[in-house]
Parts: sequence; C-alpha cells; structure tokens
Amino acid sequence: MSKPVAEAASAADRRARQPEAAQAPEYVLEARDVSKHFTVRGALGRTSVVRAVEDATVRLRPGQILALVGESGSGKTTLARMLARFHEPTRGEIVLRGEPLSGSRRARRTYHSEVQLIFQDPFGSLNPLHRVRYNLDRALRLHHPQLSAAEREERMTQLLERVSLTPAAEFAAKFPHELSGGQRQRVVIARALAVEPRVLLGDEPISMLDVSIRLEMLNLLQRLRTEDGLALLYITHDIASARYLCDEIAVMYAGQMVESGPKEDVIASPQHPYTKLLIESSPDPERGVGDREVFFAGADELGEPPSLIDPPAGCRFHPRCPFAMQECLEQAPPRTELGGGHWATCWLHAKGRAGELADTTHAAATAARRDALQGA
Amino acid sequence: MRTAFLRSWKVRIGVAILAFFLLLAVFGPWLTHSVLGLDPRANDTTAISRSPGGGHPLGTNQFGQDMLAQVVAGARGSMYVGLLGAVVGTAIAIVVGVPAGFYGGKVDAALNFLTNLFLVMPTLPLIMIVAGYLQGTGLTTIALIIGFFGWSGGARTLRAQAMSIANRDFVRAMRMLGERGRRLVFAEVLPHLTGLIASMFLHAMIGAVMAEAGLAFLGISDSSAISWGTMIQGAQQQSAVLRGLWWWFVPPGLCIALIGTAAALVNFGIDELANPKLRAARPVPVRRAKQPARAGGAA
Repeated sequence: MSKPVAEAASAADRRARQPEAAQAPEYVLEARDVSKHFTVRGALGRTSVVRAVEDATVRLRPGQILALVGESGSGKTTLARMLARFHEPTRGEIVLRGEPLSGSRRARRTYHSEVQLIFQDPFGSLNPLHRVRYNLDRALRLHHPQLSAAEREERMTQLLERVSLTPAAEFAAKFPHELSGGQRQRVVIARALAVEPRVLLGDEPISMLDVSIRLEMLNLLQRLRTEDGLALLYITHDIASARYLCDEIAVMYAGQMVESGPKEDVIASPQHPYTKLLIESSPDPERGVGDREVFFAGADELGEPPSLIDPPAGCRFHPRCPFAMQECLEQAPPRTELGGGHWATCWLHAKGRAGELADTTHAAATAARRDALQGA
Repeated sequence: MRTAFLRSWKVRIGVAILAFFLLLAVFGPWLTHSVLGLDPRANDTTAISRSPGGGHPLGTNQFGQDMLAQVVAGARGSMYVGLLGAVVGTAIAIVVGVPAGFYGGKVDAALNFLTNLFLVMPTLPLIMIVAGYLQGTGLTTIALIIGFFGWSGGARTLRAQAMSIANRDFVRAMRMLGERGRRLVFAEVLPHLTGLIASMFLHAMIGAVMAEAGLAFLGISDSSAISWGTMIQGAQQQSAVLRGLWWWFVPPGLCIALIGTAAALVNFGIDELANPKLRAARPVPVRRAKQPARAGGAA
C-alpha cells in the first residue's frame, strides 16, 4: 500500500546522502532502510508477521551521539539488536565504515571489535557465576591476544578506573551480586570498552538504574564520546536524558522513523504530531503547575500504540492523531526536509498545515477534535 | 563457602552416610577379613541359617556364609554399580541435553529425537534382553547397561534449562564479545547447571543401586558376584520372609534405603553450593554479646 511512497522517500534520501557523504566525515556505522519482520506462530498454527522495524535508517558519525526515542514496542530495541547483529535484517543492509557485512564468523568478530552493545538490564547481562575480573579478562583475551598476563592486568585496572570503579583490584574480585545496579552497568561498559570499539549502542542503558546515579552514567558516556571519539546510539524513551546527552534525535513510532534532526530543533519545534505528544508528556520542571490542565486535559484519550501485526493503513499514527486528515488514512506520508538535517514524515507539511502544530498542544488539539466530532 | 555447604544438619548427615558407605565399599572387605576373620564366601557348615549372635554378628545364610561379610562385600558391588551407572548416565545426559538446548535448530531436533526415543523405550524389558544377550553379566556390564538406558530424563531436564540460559543476556553479551560456542557452553551455561547435574547424579546413583538390586532380584546378575541385590534375591528364593529369617533381607534392604536417604539429604545442600546468590543470602549467625546492662535499668 505504501510502497511507492516509501520507495520515493528512500530514493530522495539516497540523493540527499550522496553530496553530504562527500563533505561530512565518514559515517562509522549505518543502517540503510533496514526492516525486521518476525514470524510468530499462534496456538492453532496460524502464523502472522510482526513488522517490528520498517525502513529505518540510522547513521552514526565518530564522536556523535544519536538518541533514538519512542515508546515501548516502537522497534528501538529491535533496531539496536540488528545493529549488534543479534538479528539479521529482513530487508536493507548494515554498513560498517562503508562496507556491507558478510556473515562469516571472522567478519562477525571484526564487526564486534568495532561495535558493542550495552544492554538495558545490568542484572541480566553479567553472568552471576563469574567475577568482574573474568568478564574483563575474556574481553581482553579475545580481542587483544597479543597482550601478556601482566599487560592485561594493567589494562583491566585502567578500564575499571575509567568507569570510576576504584579501587580496581577490589572491584575486579567481586561477583556481580555484590555490586549495585550502577556499578554493574559500569562493569558492562568497561567490558564493552575492553574491546576498544568505535561505536557503542546503548539500549536504554540507564533505565534500570536508580535515578540518583543516572546523571553520573550519562556523564560517563559523554566523557567516552569526547575523549575517545566514540559514536554512540543512545536508545531511550526519556526525552530529558536525550536532550542532556545527544546531538541528534531520531523519533520512532510503530517501527518507523517519523522525525529526525538536531536535538534543539526537534525538541523546540517538533514537526510530527507524535514527537509533539512525546515531548509534551515528558515532565518539565519549568512548566507552571497551572498549565497542567492545558497540557493534560485530553490525556485519557491518547489511545494505544497500534498492533504491529496489522498496522493501520496510511500513516501509522493516524488513529491517535488529532490532526488526521483523509490522506493520513489512505497513504503513508512523504518525507519532508525542513533544513539543517531536520525532517519529518507527516501530511501536515505536504498540505501546508504545519503551522497548526506549533500553535496548540497535543492535548488541546485532541480535546478540540473531540468537541468538533461531538458537535457534528 | 564449603563450610556453608556443611552447615546444614541434613547435608552433614547425608554426607556422613555416603562417606561411611564409600569407606565401607573401599576398606570394608579387607577389614572384615583381617580383623573379624570373616569371609563372605566361606561356608560354615556348623552354622546354617543361624540367627545373629556368636561368631556371626548378623547370622548366616543357607550355605553358612556370614551375613555381615556379605553385606560389606555387597556394599562394594552395589556402590560400584551405582557410581559407574550414574557417571555413564549423567555424562550421556550432559552431552546430549546441553548442546540440544544451547544450539537449538537442527542439532536440537536430532538430539531431542534421540532423547525421546530413549524416553519411550520400555527400559526394563530392554535391559533384560540386552543383559541376557550379553551373557557374561558382570557388575561392570550391568552398570554400563543401566547408565546407557537411564539418561533420557536427565537429558530432557538439562535441555530445557540450557535452552532458557542460552537466551539470557549474559550469554548474548559474551557471544557478542566473540566467545566461541564450545566455551559458551562450558564456561557460561554449564556452571549454571551444576546444581541440577549434581542432584541428577545422586538420583542416578540411587537409581542404579536400585536397578541393580531389581535386576538381581529378577535373576539378571552374575551369580558369583556379591551385591545387595543378589543377597535380596537369595533371600527371596529361600522365602526368607515367610520363614522369619529377617537377617537375610533387612541388612541389605536397609543399606539401600539409607543410601537413598543420604543422597536426598545431600541434594538439599547442593542447590546452595551451585548458586552464589543463595550462598550470600544465608544469614551469618552473629553471636550476641551478653545483654548489656539496661541503660538506667533500675529506674
């Protein structure tokens, strides 16, 4: 149904990329129009296809932090796992330093010496039976086989100090269950860093951590970027932390990318109704208490994320969108370039109604739409 | 850590009983021979079917053979079958079950088919046929047969466990780090199964001791070998129960029951040993200092 438009969009995207690639520094890691479909089997042997990610494009420059935001089930984690090569994309390709991937074991090893994923749950990503030392030592042995035992020991101390786990010797001898969540996550980061990767994929790396240590973790990631020029894909549903950490934001909804651009542009003037909803729902201490009514008047009727087995036709956001028009129900929206690398896929831009987005809040628009429908 | 394992009284009793029978199996026959001067095969024609007492602490059987010496010699036979059968059975269960669960796909399909095949095979008749076919049924043969036909349940359990562990994040993380399959199986997955494997081993051991006794009872054994099973079979043939000759069947039966109990008791402690989290959760008993004089107690 949306094929021609999607193809047109990706063709436009490809055209836009060519001149850009010439001047801008090389992308270290790219996912080009990747899709991932999972086949699930029901109780009666009926199969259905979950379209977890469709035609998503992610590009990472060295030293750049890209935040990928979206609600649960929007395909963020699937995208990260494709980039970490746990899943092979159904369509599209993943490109490391301009070279597409091959499936051989050696290629996989090389890939993982450049790209490492930090899992969401630090309680699950460390084997409870191994000490911290074992984890780091294995990483060093596998990726730096030329190091002697003494050199590995030294490197291990450096790594632990780098993630502020001091005294290093003491922490190296601990089991995961003797560490707090934040300390475990730092061990996980140290293990990833032992490989000396160029790209870190953070799959909600702070969401399982205590609020009081999240900032510390964000600063650690920030430091890795500035000191080592690591590229970081920061997956989150927390706009505030994305704003604090990243350079660019990409927004996903129901498996598709709906808006992307420099963080200030996206946060200050969201150009997609879903981005707007997302930003307005995040708590903002500067917002007055009295504004609450205005912002959350329609909060009860914001709807549910759509099924990915049978996604809505046209724009996937239209069932929840207060601005939805006839086109939105029928055709996927085209991608609109808004300058400065900012783009959005929404019919409002094609129809010249983009101004409406800035004038109202999502909740107010929803309320107004409800009144209009009842009036009719 | 070891001491934590031994702190529970159940484990201590279990280990003590098992150790006792192991020592009995190793040194017992030599002790009865040189210290008590008893030979399990010597026929004392002056004392046929004698009740306990006198020169024969546990009485004698229909050939005038000393029952104490027989029980001790039987410990060696039964423990040997138990251990060898359990080692063989557990080893096959690990080799078949863990890779099936870990690798999944075709490997799993093939290995699981094999497991299911052995699971539905009527083991006892098959063992009887094989044992009959192999004629020279020494204790080693019996133990190997028991192990070879008794691994399927354990493999099934290990497969399920390995399957759940293989999909945990820490295995994914190590695979991403570049660990190879074999190392993932042995360093990441298998250590999580030690508790299960240890308890499986103990179960298999009881199972093998019992299976041997059962087979001997049915007459499938080496008639010259002495084990608790052959002793019970002898008692059965002479209808010892009807004749009230309790010392023919109670000592070997009690030994089998004791080993079973001991293995179960040890199992309670193994879980803790294999899981460091449980280890840490055990509260350290702090001896309280004498109650300090209550502040302002008089008032």
